[in-house]
Amino acid sequence: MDAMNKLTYELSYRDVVDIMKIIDESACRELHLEIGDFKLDLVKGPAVAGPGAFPRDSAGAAGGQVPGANPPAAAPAVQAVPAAAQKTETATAGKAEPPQASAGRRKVPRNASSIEIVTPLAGVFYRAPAPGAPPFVEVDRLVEAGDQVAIVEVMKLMNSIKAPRKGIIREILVQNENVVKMGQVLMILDPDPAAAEK
Amino acid sequence: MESQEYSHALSLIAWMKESRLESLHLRMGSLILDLKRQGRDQGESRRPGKIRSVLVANRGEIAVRVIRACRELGIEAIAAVSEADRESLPAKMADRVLCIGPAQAKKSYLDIPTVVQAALGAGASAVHPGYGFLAERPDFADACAKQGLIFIGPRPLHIRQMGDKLFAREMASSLDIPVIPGSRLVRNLQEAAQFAEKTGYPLLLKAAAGGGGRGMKILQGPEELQCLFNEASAEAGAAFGDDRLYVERYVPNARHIEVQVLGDSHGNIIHLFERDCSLQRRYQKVLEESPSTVLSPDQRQAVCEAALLIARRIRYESAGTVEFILDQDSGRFYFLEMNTRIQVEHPVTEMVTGLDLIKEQIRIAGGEPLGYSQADITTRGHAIECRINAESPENQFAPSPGRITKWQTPDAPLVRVDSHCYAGYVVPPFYDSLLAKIIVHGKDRREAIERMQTALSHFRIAGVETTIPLHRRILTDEAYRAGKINTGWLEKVFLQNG
Repeated sequence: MDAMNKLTYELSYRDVVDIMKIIDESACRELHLEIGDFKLDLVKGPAVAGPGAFPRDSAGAAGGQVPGANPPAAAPAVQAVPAAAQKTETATAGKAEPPQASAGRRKVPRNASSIEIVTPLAGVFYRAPAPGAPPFVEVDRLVEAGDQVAIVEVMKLMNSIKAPRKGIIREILVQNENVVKMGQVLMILDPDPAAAEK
Repeated sequence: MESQEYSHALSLIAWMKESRLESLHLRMGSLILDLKRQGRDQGESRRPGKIRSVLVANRGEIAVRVIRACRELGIEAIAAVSEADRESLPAKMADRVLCIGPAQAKKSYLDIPTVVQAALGAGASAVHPGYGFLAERPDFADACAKQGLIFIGPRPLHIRQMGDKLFAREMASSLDIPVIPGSRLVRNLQEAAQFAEKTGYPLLLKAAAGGGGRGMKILQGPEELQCLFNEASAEAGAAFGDDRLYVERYVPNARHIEVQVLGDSHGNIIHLFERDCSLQRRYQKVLEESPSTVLSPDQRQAVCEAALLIARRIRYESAGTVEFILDQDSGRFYFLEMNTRIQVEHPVTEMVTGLDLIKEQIRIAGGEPLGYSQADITTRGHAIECRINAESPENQFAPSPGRITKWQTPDAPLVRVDSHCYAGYVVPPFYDSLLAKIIVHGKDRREAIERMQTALSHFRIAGVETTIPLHRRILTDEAYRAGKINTGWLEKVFLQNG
């Protein structure tokens, strides 16, 4: 009895919120807590994780329902939405619009003789032979005819993109790992370095 | 004192979160703590009927296959698709669809946190990984378990153990199952050279973390050693983040024989006999069949028993495949590796045994015991599968993505087509080139071959190039029909002859 009487600790609203947060984030479904007079019963909703556990924002936005799918009426309006940063990229990739130019796309005065290096295939563009490896080429670098300048991955096959002739890479128009369309311009090659330097 | 109890309660809850405990009931003085875990992991959560909805974390034909199995079991199927797959058949068939990111697999199908969040957000009770992508990623299986999601596949430990090809090899060896004479691990060129001197050429260099032929090189002589060792090591490092290599004797006249196994969470393990997958191009299987024409009854029993031994040793759960190499010159077989997933060619086994392997996988993950004992498993007739890829066999197998303008599948008895394609579907360039698997059953191999030929001649696809012409040529080839082939035959003999 003495022990019971000692229990005068009162849980503040904040404490309850803290407990709820912990339960919400944990894999626990129910909590029954009794301290003295205080009794707390927490039961999580069926199956769906609590609001704190999963971002429900932007339902129907970029990561929304696919047309033609019929969500059951009872289904919670929860969408799997990748991180916000990823979403913007999604929109670009999904519509297969020309991906944005590499950071700080420079307005280089193009020589009349500039050559566009295009991809013959649709796929994913890579600037380097392997993740983390140095890129094949950088802007302003001299390349020989036949030098590999990029990879376009098509159906898990790596296709090398080669410089059609000797020259200086003036622009790289696609960011690493972006989606490219068939015939899209990847890089601008200046085959007449001497003239361009002036 | 009382605030101490309160903080105890809090730390217990936090600890419980990290622990593997199923439930916690505590009365400490006046403190009563009653915690129950939501997730899988232990007994209770693996009870039958636990799985009400499945997130299909894959694409293509296997996603369609899983959705069909869910339908038959009365389970809701939720498709997780990339931006590029919004119009795909799985997206149209599933009860619900979630978009999980951009076309590039790395940012969608391979993104573990996103897939797990999708499953949680959709309220799925389980995740089916299909094959490829996250199917053999133990960290994904771990992430699912941690969030209370049932991973429809083996336990993470099984994936880890069998994913280490050297571990698997040593385990097989310890069970007196023959393995190809090989060194344990070659740390450098010098060790590889020493091994080569002892064993002789040809040799096979393989990645310890292996798979899909990456990091795999055949060495014909000592002059190739240095160059190919470095190449293999670099390839393995890039593909698996693990550049450990091992070297073994190369078996030139080999058959690829694999045994399908099923294990449940109650310790029951059965085998479903073998598949012969000796027709390969660049280590990718092209055509598979069951039963194998080259195994004697004794050899068949021996490989199936060996597969069971390995599965039993780790108390394997779910569907798995134990692969062997049969040396046709010596008649000996050797353990190769175990794949801890459902395989592309699983329908071949389904056709001869009558079992539905995907449904079995789901039932097992739900905690149900196997509905079959070993004695219940028999095979009937012969089954063949042809993989139809969007590739041009006339043009060095160049990939051929694009819009399918015509898609007419053969419609005949005992012919099955597993596919995600339809007329008007655009085959995206971002994923593998598999368009369809066509599987036939016949009372014997001869009938199966005839049936496949007829079926292929009625399979009409336009808009993309396919490997159908290749299969039609293989099926008429004398050597193939006589069963006089090995794992190198397709590439080194058949395709060389044009």
